Amino acid sequence: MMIDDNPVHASALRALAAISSVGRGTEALPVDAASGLWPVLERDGFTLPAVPAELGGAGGETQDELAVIHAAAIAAARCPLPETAVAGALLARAGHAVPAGPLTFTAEAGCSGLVLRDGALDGRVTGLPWGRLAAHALLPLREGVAFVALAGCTVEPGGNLAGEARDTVHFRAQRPLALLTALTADDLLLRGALMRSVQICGAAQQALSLAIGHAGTRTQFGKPLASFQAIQHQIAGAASKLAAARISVDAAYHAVARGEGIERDVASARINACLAGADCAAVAHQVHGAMGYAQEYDLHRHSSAIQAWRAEFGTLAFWAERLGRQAADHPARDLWQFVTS
Amino acid sequence: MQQISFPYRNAELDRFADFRQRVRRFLEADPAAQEPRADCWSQFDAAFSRRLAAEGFLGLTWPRQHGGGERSSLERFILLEELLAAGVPVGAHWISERQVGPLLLRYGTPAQKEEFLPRIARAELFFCIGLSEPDSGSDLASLRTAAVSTPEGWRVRGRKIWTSNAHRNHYMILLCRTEPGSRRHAGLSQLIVDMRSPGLSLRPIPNMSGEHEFNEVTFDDVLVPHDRLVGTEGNGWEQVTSELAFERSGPERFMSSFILLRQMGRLGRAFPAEKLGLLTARLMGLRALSVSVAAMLNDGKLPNLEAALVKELGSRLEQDIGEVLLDGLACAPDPAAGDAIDRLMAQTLLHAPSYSIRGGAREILRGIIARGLELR
Repeated sequence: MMIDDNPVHASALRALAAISSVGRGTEALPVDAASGLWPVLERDGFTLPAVPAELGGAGGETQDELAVIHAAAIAAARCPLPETAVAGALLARAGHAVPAGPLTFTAEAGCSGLVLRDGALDGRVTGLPWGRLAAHALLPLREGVAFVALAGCTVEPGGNLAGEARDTVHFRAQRPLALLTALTADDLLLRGALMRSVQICGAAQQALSLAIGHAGTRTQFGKPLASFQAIQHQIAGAASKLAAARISVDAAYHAVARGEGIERDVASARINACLAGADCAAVAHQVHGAMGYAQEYDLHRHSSAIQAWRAEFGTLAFWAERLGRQAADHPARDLWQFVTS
Repeated sequence: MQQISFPYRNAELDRFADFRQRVRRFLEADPAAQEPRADCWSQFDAAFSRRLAAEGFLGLTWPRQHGGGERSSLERFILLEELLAAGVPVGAHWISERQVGPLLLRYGTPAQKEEFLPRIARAELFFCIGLSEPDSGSDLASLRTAAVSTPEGWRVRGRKIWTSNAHRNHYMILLCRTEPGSRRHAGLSQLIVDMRSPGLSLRPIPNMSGEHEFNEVTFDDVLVPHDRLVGTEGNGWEQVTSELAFERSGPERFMSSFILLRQMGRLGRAFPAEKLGLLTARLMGLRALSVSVAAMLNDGKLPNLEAALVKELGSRLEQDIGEVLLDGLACAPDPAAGDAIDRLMAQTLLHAPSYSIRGGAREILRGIIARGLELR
């Protein structure tokens, strides 16, 4: 069963319709406490899909998390749903109960701007996804992964290309709720990179879908764009890369579920998602002509999100180098055994 | 957007781990693995094919009564990918086992099955496929080679070209026009032609690596007995396309250059990790897609669209491996070099242009994918 065949995918899409930014012109959508949207998602089990019920989650499968994150990207829902689902799963893996409210995490190993002194945190974290909305965060300190409450922190707002909050959060004598030694900075990096890869797949699918729709209706030279081979072949090439990316993120989620081969499969997912995302965004824009460049049209919601997500949790080059080293250092010195193990 | 679906995972292969080990043990002991070749499924070595047959490795999925092993398509997938990863010369039987066997199993008469299948599985009979013609390449449906029904059999006139190993094969599956005046996909049939038939002549066409694989085959009133018609008269196009998923989705559609990458690592050659990682990720993605298609075939589905996608993406990887390594690895490509990497690099570069042409040109595949996406 693949991403969209999971019934959770369809139900998440329905639930997210209320906060989708698709078709809303230039309006930003509030998912803050005042809007009342988050508690609905929480109540219906979309915020912590793969967290066991006894730890506060919906008690679903690991693949349900993939489905929800993918659906959120398709809806271009600008809210910390993916971060909450992943941080919640990490907390649960460490055996910690997961509180209500949005969660977030960063993968900056060591959090160089933060100091833990006498059990209290001082300093700042930059680029924290949804720092202004999240109630709690996982931060990979040198001493272990800190689970902290963000209430009382000062937030300097920032954002990425897609208009998602990437904030600088200042801590003053803040005591972490827990120091989780079962988690490492690399766990956060791997899960963060996989999360962004899934999102890229969702956005790339929407970008291509818009391009296919446009090509079918826009007429030039007396016939629809879709009838030109130059258009068909660009879209077919991008769709092929997307198929490889989709199956790769599915494989990586399967590795997460099994607890085996995660490093290898996440790197592969990340690389395939970046390759596909780049191509799908570029092709979708080319097919749309000037219209795709207009703010009032939805394509940029997906294409700029792809570009933003390619830059977060390690670039293509970072993951390619890491996978290459892993392959070269494989004990058998044999790429075939590395790939088939 | 129409989703192109790949519903199965690599985990489908897990239950056959013992079989994979068995194939690996066979390969470790076989002399052919000592001299691996790029594009090894174009390398003709009848003796090696017979050693595989002796292990029961040909016709692995076919019924026992026809000389097969009644194993699953997934075991066959494992066998194929292990053979390709080892770079062993599997070209003699490849087409016969991949296409002719399944064709005869599906459409052959009981007598044809009995006559040909066990001997294909024993690597005693090798077939070629007569499709392209001098004026019909990607536009295969424009083919003109014609067979006329006479009391003594079919009389064939015409010409086929780019026919791999026609000079070494015993039979050809010939696609020809059997209905005079028919056009395009209608009126085509498949005939089994004995390559020793009077009136059949061959002209070698050496390829750019200097090897003689291709031939031009001329039919000058070649007599083919009536009982050598495969399936239904006039149904040739449908019969040919029913095998496309088998032909286009296998690991040979993305692994033709893999041995170069593998040997580079085994021999400890310096190569930028980032480039290796990129190629490895693409290989992993393709392999997952290809396994998924094998599992669909195992379910009795005919995933032609998905197979076209595997081949479209796969030929790009096969070609890029040569390109990326040429730009990143210190070597002096030469087919006659003493150094194994220099030799493999030369083989890869000299064979790579064919990867995106054989078995459906890239442009044709993209057209199929575009149709699947409802663009045309």
